[in-house]
Parts: sequence; structure tokens; C-alpha cells
Amino acid sequence: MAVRLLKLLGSFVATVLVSTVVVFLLLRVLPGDPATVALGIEATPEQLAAWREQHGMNTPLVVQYLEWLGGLLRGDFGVSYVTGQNISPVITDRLQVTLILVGLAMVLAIAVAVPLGTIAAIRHQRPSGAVISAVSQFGVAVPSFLVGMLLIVFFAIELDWLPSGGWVPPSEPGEFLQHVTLPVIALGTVQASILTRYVRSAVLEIQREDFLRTARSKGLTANLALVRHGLRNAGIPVLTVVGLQMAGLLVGAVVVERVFTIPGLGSYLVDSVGNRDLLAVQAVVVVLVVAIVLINFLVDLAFTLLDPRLRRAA
Amino acid sequence: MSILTTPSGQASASAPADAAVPEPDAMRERSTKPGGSARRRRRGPNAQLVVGGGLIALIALAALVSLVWTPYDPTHAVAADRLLSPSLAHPMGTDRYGRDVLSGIMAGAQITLLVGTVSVLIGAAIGVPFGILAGMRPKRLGVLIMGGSDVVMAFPGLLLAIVFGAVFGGGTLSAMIALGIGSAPAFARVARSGTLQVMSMDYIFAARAANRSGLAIALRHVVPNIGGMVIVQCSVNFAIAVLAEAGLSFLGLGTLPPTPSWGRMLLDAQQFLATSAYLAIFPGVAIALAVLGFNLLGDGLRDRFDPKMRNR
Repeated sequence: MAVRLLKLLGSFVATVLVSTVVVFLLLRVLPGDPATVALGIEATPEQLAAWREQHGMNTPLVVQYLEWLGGLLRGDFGVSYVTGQNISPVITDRLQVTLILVGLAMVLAIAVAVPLGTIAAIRHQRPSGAVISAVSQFGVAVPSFLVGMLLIVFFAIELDWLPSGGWVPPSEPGEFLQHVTLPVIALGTVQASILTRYVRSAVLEIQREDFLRTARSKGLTANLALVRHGLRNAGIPVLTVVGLQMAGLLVGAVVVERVFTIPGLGSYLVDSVGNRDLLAVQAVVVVLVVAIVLINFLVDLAFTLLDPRLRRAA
Repeated sequence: MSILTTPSGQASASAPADAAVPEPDAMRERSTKPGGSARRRRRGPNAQLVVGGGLIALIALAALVSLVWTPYDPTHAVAADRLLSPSLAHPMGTDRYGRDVLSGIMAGAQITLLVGTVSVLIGAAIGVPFGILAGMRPKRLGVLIMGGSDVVMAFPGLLLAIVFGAVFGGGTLSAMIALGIGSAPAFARVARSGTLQVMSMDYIFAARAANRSGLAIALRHVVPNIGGMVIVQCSVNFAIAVLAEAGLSFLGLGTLPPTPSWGRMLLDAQQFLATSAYLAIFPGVAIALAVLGFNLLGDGLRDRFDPKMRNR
């Protein structure tokens, strides 16, 4: 067990380190000179040289990487060349917004998908089960930003029930709920469709297991056997998918934040790409990538700890 | 890093972040009655294959026809025809520049198919050879390759494409390359798990006893046996690429104007949602049908190719 956990941890640390190298190198090959981006095309060669010196651009690439990595470990993402802003507080603020969005969308997805997927599995030979499967198949194919736009048309424009965009922090709960509802539905419904299919398959698979047949032969009804013995077992693969969906949501949120003009990490990334703000792009990408690797690690860890077969094997 | 894949290691278009997760339909229901509906179902035409193939054929037809004919020039602005609602003359209306939406959707199908095809080819060209190598040399080399695959997996296609947009500027080419690289780990995983299965077969021991080289074994035995799984993955990743390209173009980092693209049309539609919602609906439906088509095709092909499904 300990060996497997250590291996997982080692793999996590190695993946994070290599990922940071990739992010660093990818954005260092940026065509064009960051000094010119920062100072403008009218800057004199002396000014450009001084700027490069000041920002450590003349040191070897390895040194630049290590300094950047050291900054990351201290939570210091540097100062934007373009806006002159300290990037770290911006990342913190924006990350909070994105995490709230992603967290609520995931809660919505689970709340919808677990009952629907279970019903679809139990009734898989009946029309209601088939309808749920068909709707979830279609839901998987619809981009979340399109769902967002349609929600705006219906609930914000036609019915005028909810605002079409913007963000209010949770410290003002009423306004917050109004602003967060449509984006969460947009992100959550697509994930719910995906998760419904997994829950359905997991429950179908569990229904054929011997232990469920044994439970039934002991006199439990089909539903009671499923609730007492089945769902817990079906939960392991579903939990894994939920973890991986969180990673997908982090990236999916980039587009949905754009639809609803939400000041999250995704909007910051897209704005920074537009401004050619190298350091800011680097910071957001590294945060997202580390988050994804961390989620994958936690999924592996949870899977190892929760599945008795893996636990014994470990 | 993610340890959960299906026995065949397939990822799904519905899979989050291009990650290799258990494919729901790989765990599809079997008939509980011996010789029951599962066996009967196999004899008839596979509905998913037919519907998925039909949708893709429709999109391919639209793309092909648009090469030689569209109702109007999809890039030609006509100031007098701005924001016309759907009518006989313009069945899907016109946009803010007076361009015909139907013509734009037909021409946009070209970009959708181009991005999907090229990115899938790039992903397969990188992922499959590395996956086979990792499966044939599962110890040190295999661990190294799959470690590299884990790193690439940390960069979902859309994120990688945004980074490429920052580095090389937006555009179809950088989107295709980024989405292709982003999809390579899924191909590598499928190819590796398929290769591992093949390498445990008796005929591989026979081939080794006959002193066949590794390359000969790969070409003669591994590639033909994992081909079906790779084709399924192509379909799944095509759907992922269509969604990602649409998202990227919506962010303004994908296909650049004036080339028509469905995601870009949605971006343009955003400011006219109150007055001309049809501008969002038509390209949106086109994207959804394309993704649905490739997802269904992938499911249908999996039924055909996956030996476990075949035996059910």
C-alpha cells in the first residue's frame, strides 16, 4: 500500500515538474520580444536592453526557469509586462470565481445525474430509460457555451427573470445566486449528461454482479439490493469520472465565463492572450495544468484507497 | 496518471478534458436472457452506426457541395440584407453583415471536417506508434512513454490550443496542431492497451520463436489487431475536436474571419441574442449534430470492433 502511494506521489511530483518546464518553454518561444511588447515599438535599444537586464532575460534559460519556479512555490507569479499589475492577487481573485462556478456546476451535475442515471439503468428496457439515454446522448453533444447562450435568450431576454451576465461575490447571497444560476446551469447540464451515461453504465454493470444476485436471493427487493449493495460499488468508477470532470470543467469554464462576462480565470487567460501578456498567460496556464494534474492524482489516490481490490493489491 | 481506462483503454468524446476515463458504453448492458435480445440485435443494422454515419454523411455532403456551390457567397457582405429573419430567400436568415447563414453553415462544415480530420491524424500519428512501442516494451520504455503521455494529458486540447494561440497567434493551423497533440495521449493509451493484449497471444510467441523482428511483429500482428480500436478512437476524438474548435473560434482564437466557422458564427451571434436568436441556433444545431454524429459513429463502431462487445 505504502509503496503504491509513494509511487503515485512520485509520479504526481514528476508530472507537475515536467509540466511546468513545458509551460515555461512553450511561452518562451513566443515570437516577438517581450521587451518590445512591454515598452512599445518606440523604445530605444538602450531602454530595451535595460528592461531585459532588469527582468533577468539575459540569464541562461535554466536560471530563468528556476527563478520562475521558485516564484511559483512562493505564490509569486511576477508582475505583468503589459499592465504593470502584480499577477498573484489577480490569479487568487479569479481562481476563487472559477472554483465557485466549477464546484456548483459539479454539484448540480451530480444531483441530476445520479438519480437519472440510476433510473435509466433500472428501466433500461422501458421507454423512460431509453428517453433518458437519448436525451443524455444529445446533451453530451451540445457545447456548454451554446447552452449558456440559449439560457440567456430564454431566461434573461424573453422572461427577464435573471441577469444575462456579470458577477457578484457570495458575500451578497441574493444577487450572487441570481448571477450564478445561468452559468452554473450551462456548465452543469452538459456535465450532467456525461455523468448520467456513466452512472447508467455503472449501475447496469453492477446489476449483473453475483453479490447483487446473492442479496436478492436473501429476500431483498431489486431496488433495496441496489441501494444497499449496488450503488456503493457503482460509486467507485463514477467518483473517478466526477474527478476527471472537474478537470474538464476548469477548461470548459474558460468559454462559459466569456458568454456570461464572468471575471474568472478563463476570462483572464483569454484577455491576456489578446494583450500578449506572456507572464499572465504563463501564470494562468500553470495554475490550470497543476490543478488538472492534482485532480488526476487525487482521483488515482481515491481509487486506490476506496477499491478494496486495489488496496489489497497495493 | 489516470489509472482508469476501459479494458480497451478507450476514452470518450464525452470524457472530460480528453481524459481516458471508463467509456460508459463499453459497459453496455448485455441481455440477461440467454440467446436473447443482444444476439438478435447484432443481426440487424446497428442503429447508432446508421444514425451517426447518416449525420456525418450529411455534414460531409454540405462541405463537398459548398466547395462548388452555396446559395450565396458566404463571405460576401450585403448591407441591405443585414439581420434578415429566416425566409424563403434566406432559409436561415442573414447575419449583421448581410451574409447568408445557410451558406456560412455549409462552408463552415469544411472547416469542421478539416480541423477534425487533421487533428485526429496528428493525434493518431503521434499516439499510436508510441502506444504500440509502450505495449511492446512495457517495462522501462513503456513507463517513460506513458509518463510523457501523462504530462501531455495535463494540457487538454482546448487549453493547449489557447496557449498556441498566444504563442503563434490564433488560426486554423495552430488549432489543428494543438488539438492533435492534445489527443495523442488518448491514442497512445488505446494503442498500448490493445498491444498489451495482442502481445500475450500465442501467435506472438510463435512469431518470436520464428525470429521475427519487433517491427515485423508490430506491422504483421499488432497493427491489424488494434486497427478497429484506433478507428473507434478516431471517431471519438473527431467529436472532441469539433467541440474544441467551436469553443476556440468562439473565443476568437480559432478560425479567423472571413473564413466561415460555426464557432465564430456563434461568437458573432452573441450580441444579437435579443433580436436575432436564430443566428446562434442554426450554427449551434450544426455543431451539436456533428458531435452527436461522431459520438454515435464511435459507439456503433465500438460494437463492431470490440471483441468483448462482439461476443455479447
